[in-house]
Amino acid sequence: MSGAASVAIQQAIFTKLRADAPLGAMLPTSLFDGDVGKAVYDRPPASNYSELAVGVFPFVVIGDDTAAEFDTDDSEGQETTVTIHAWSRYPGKKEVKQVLDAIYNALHNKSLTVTGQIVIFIFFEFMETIADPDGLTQHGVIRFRLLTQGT
Amino acid sequence: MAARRIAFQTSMELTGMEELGEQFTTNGPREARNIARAAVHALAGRARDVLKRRVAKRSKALAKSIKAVRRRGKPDFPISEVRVGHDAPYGLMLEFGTSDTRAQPYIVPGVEELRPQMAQHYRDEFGAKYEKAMARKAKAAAKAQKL
Repeated sequence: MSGAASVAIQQAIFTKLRADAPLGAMLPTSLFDGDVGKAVYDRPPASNYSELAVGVFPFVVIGDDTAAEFDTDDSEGQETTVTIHAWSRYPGKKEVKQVLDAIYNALHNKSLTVTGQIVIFIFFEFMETIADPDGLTQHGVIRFRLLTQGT
Repeated sequence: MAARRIAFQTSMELTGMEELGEQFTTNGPREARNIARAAVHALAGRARDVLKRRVAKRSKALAKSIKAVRRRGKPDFPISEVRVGHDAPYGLMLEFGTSDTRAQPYIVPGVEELRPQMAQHYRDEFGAKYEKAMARKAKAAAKAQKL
């Protein structure tokens, strides 16, 4: 298990989501200067989303992850969970659910190229939509579990 | 594909299962179920303690609201669950974040921390409770013999 593997996994998921056409069709371009990709973020675009213009939504933020050892006698492996957040200002849950569905279709049981790792599986584990306390924003949470082994 | 084979090529040998089965037949399935139910609930207690430890510094009220609860299940399928946030409804918001506060997950990392040791914990709890049950039985038998 290594931090490098976690970085590589996050990079791979980030790249995969940014390159995904159905998801990209729903998202605006990134808010960060010089970033020409779609609104998939590693760090949130603001600390308080109520400051953001409506046009910035919907967007996706790669959230926290956990990693646990999954070593065998002759290889190093790790079991990782990755949480991904979707945020929307659509009045209702439709848009956030569509974004979550696109993320699901992009990642669940799909091939993922991770530098220095073989991805044995990536499976959907959990999904939830929550009305944010601000009364305007819809929040979607989706979590995946990955098993990887070092090459 | 080679990697896949390596990852899943694990085997486990359990010895003494016949003797254990015999013991349970002798002592009655009811006793075995009670021990299993208590062991499952003890596991839920361990999960509760891990979550409490993770959240204690952030909110004492939230930590206090985390409880291990027995659920009505089938006799051979005991269920205990860990409930969060009855007296502190912001438990979910802390786990997932809101539009103006970042997520500070404690449930998923807590469960993932416990997951690799779960089987061992179950064995420990089951073994300890089984020994206690047997000691109780032996004591009762000795008392009955005296009378």
